[in-house]
Amino acid sequence: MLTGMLNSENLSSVLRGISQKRQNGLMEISFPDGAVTVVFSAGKVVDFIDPVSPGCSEVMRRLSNAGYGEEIDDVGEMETYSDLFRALNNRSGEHRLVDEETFKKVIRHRILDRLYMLNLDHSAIYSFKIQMPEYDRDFSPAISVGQILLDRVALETDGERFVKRFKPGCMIALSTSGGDALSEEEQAVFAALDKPRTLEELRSRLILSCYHFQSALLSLFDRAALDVNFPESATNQASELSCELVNALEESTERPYIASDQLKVEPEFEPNGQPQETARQDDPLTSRVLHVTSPAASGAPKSVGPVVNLTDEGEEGEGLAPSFLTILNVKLLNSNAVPNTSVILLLAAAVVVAVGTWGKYLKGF
Amino acid sequence: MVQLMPKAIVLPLISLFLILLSLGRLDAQEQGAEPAVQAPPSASELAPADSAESYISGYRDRYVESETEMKQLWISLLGAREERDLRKVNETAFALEEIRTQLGYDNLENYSNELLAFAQKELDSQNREGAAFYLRKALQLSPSSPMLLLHAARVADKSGGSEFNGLYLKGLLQGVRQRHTLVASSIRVIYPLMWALTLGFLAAAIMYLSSSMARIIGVASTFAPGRIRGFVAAPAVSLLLIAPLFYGPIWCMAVWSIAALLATRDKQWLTFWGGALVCLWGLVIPIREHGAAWLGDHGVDTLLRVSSGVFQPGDEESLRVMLKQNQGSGAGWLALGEVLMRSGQYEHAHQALDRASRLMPSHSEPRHLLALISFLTGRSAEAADQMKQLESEGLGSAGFYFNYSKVQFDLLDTAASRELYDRANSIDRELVQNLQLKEEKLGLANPVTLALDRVPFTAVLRSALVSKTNSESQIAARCMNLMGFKRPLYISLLGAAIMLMFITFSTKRRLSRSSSYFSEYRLPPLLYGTLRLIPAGSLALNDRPSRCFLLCAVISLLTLPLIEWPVETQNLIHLLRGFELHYTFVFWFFVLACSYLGFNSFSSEDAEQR
Repeated sequence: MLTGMLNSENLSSVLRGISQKRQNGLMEISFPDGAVTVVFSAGKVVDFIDPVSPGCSEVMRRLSNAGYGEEIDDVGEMETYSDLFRALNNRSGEHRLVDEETFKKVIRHRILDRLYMLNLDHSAIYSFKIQMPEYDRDFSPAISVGQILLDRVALETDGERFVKRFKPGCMIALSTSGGDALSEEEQAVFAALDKPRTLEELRSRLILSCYHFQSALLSLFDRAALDVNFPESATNQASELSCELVNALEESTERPYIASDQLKVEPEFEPNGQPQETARQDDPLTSRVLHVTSPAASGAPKSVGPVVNLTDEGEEGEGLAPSFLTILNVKLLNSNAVPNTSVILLLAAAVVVAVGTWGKYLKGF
Repeated sequence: MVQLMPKAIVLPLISLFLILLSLGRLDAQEQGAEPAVQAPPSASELAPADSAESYISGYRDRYVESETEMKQLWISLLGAREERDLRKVNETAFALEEIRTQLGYDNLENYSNELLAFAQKELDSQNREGAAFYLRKALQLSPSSPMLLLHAARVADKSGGSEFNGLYLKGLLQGVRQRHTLVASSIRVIYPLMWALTLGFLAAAIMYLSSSMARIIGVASTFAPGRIRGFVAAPAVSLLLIAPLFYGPIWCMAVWSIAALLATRDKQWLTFWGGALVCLWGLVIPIREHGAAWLGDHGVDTLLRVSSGVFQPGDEESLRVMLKQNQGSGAGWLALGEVLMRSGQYEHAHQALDRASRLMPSHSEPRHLLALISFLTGRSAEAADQMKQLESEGLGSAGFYFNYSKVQFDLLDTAASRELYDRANSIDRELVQNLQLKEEKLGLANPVTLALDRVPFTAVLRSALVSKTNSESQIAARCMNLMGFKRPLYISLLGAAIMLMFITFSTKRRLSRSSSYFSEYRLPPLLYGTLRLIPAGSLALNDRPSRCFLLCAVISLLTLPLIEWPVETQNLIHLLRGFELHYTFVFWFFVLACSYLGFNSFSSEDAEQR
C-alpha cells in the first residue's frame, strides 16, 4: 500500500507512477472532511467514487439536463451503471432512449470532470491499495493518466482566454451553418445551439466535461463560428447571473462534494468596492466554503470560469499540511490494531458477561 | 466442509437424539423432575353438566366389580410377596392378566411399575433371580407400555439379563407408535431444539463477527462525520456488539443478526436465520406452554392414549373430567364412547357416540361405533344396514370389514361374511389375526374382539386450542424473562423486522464507500489459528456463516444431553444404559472430526486471501 501527501506539485508524478506500472487498485484521497476514491485498472482510471454523490446520480442528472427525461426516483439506490442503463431504457412514458455510446460518453465526461475538479491547493492524504478493483466493466471508460494531466494543464492555461471570450450570461449563437470538419465535441455544441442560448444554458445542456466544453467553444469561436453577445443589463444583474452560473455549475458537477440544496449565495464586498459573490456551504460533512468569483465583476480573472477553491473553514491560511487529528483520523481507519482491539473486547465480553449474567435468563428452562 | 460431514452419520444421530430426548423427558417426569399429570378428581366432585351427561354420573356395576376384583387380586399379590410365596405371586399375576384381557386393557401400568420397583429392590439385595421374576411379571401386565419397557430394559441390564436390547428397541418402537408419546415428545422437544439453534447461532455469529470486524467498522464509519469517523467508529461498533450481551441471548441474537448484515460483502443468510429464530421464539413459547398445560391435563393424556388404541383402568373417569370442562370436544365424546362400549355399557356408550356424531358430522367413526353397539346389543340386521351405508360412503378399512364380516356371520350370511373377512385380511393381515385370536378366546359378540377406529388425530388436536389460564401467565413470564416483553407477539415482530431488513437492505452501495478502510487487515495469527481449530470456525472465517450456524447448532444439540440442560434433557443420557461412554466418545469424535476437517478443508490460498 502506498501512502503519502498529495498536492498539485506531486499529483503528476504519483499518477504517472501508477500508470507506468499499470497497477490495479483504489486510490483513496482523504481531505480533512471527506474522502474520494479513484479506481485504477491496468494503470488507467476506470471510475471515481464519491460517497456523497454516487456516480449513477451524477450521470442521471447530466442526462436529465441534456433532455433525456426526468430523473428516476430510485437512482440513488442503484449500484452499477448497468442498472441505471437498464432502468433508463425500461422506464415508461415519453422519454428519449439513451443509446449505449451516449451513456458511455456521459460516464466518461463525468469521471473526467471529477478528476479535473480535484482541488489540491491544500495537501490531502492519499493511500493507494493494490487490489483487483470491482467496477462496471460494461460502461466504465479507461482514461489514460496522461490525458488527464494534459487536460488539467490546458484547462488552466486556456481558462483565462475562455473567460474573456465567454462572460457569464453572454448569449451564444451560431454565425455559420458549419461546413468545416468538426470534432465530436464541436458537433455537440453545434447541435445544442439550435437557437441562441446563454453560456449557462448551453453548459447545462451538454454532457461534456468542463475541459471539452471549454476547448470546443474556444475552437468554434476562433473559427468565427459563434456570435457572442453580452447584454448590457447583464452587468447590473451580475449577481443573479452568477447565481445562475453557480447553479449551473452545481448541476454540472463542478462542485465535487457539496449538496446543491444547501447552497446559499450571499454578496460580499471586496476592498476595491467591486462585487464578489461567495457561495457558502453549510454541509455538515464538508463544512467548506466555496468561493465563486465572478470574472465579469473582478475584471481580472486568473482561472477558468469561476474559481473554485475548497478551503477548510477556520483553517484558511494555516498552511498546507493537515492537522495531527486529521492524520490520526485517517490512520485509525487503516490501522489493524483497531479491529483487533474490538475483536478481543467482544470475545472477552462474550465470555465474561455470558457466564456472569445469563444464568437468570436461562433459569426455568 | 459440510459436504464432508456424512449425512449418514449426522441424520441418524439427530433422529436418535430426538427420540431419546422425548423419552428422557418422560423418564425425568416420572422420576419427579417435573410435576406429573394431575390426578383426576373423585366421582363425587363431578356433577353432570346437562341431561346428556346424566348417564355419566355414577359408576357402572361391571366396571366397579372389575376394579374391585383387580384390587383384591393385587392385595393378594402383595400379601404373597410379603410371604415370599412366588408361586402365589405368579398365579395372581396370571389372574390379573386374565382380567386385563377380558376388560380389553392393554396395560396395567400402575401395577407393573410397582412390580418393577420390587425387581429393583431384589436387585439391590443381590437377588438376581427374584429381580428377573418380578421383571417378567411387570412386563406380563404391561406388554406395550413404552416407559415400562425402557425401565425394564434398565433393570434387565442391571440384573445381567440378556434381553436388554430387545426390551429397549421394543420400548422405542412402542413410543413411536403411540400418539400420546409422540405428541408429548413434539411438545417437549421444542425448548431443547430452540436452545440448540440459538446457541449455535450465537457461536456462529460471534466467530463471524470477529472475523469480519474490520468490515463492520469500515461500514459503520460511513455513518459518522468524516472528521471523527476514525475515532468513533470502532468504539461505537464495540459498544453495539457488547451491549446486548447484558440483555440476554435473544437480544444478542437480534442485534448480532443486524451487525452480520453490515459485515457482509454479499448478503449472507445468517441475518435471515437470526431474524427467523427470534421470530420463532415468539411463536414457540405459546405453543410450548399451551401444549405443556394441555398435556398436563390427565383427560387429554387419556384421550391421546385411547386415540392410539391403548386402554387402561381409569380411562372413563379421566375422560369424564375432561368432558366436563370441554363439552364441545367431539374427539372426547368419541373416546368416551369407545371406553364405555369396551366396558359393556352400551346404552351410555350409544349416547356418547350419538353426541360425538353430532359434533363431528363429517367423520364416520362415531357411526361405525354406533353400528357396532347395534350388533353387540343383538340388533345385527340394523347394524348390517348401518354398515352398508358406511361402506357406500367410502369407509373401507381392515377393521371395518372385519367387523362387518362378524355382523354378516351373525346374520348367517356366510358367503358375505367370508368375502368381507378376505377383504379385511388382504388389507391388514396382522390386525385380523390378532382380533381372531381374541375372538376365539372371548367369543364373537365381545367388544374387545371388535376392531375400533382410532379417534381422528385432527379432532384430538382441536381440543388443544382450548386456552388454559395458567399457560397464559406462564407465557408472559417466559417472554418477560427472555426479552422483557410480556407478549410473544412483540418478539415475533422484532424477528420479522430483522428478516424484512435482510430482504430490503442493499449492502453493495454502502460497502463501496468503505471498501478502502482496513483493506489490508488480517486477523492476528493466534486468533485466526484458534478460530480455525474451533469446530465450524473455519466456515465462519471463509464467509460461510450459515453453514457454520447449522454445524454449531448440531454440536449444541448433541451437547445438551451431556450437560443435562434444559430440563427436558435431564436423565436422557441415563437412558443409554451401558452406552453413555459410547455416546460421549461419538460426540467427541464428531467434534474433533469437524475441527480437523474444518482446519484442513480450506487451502492456504483461501487463508491468504483473507
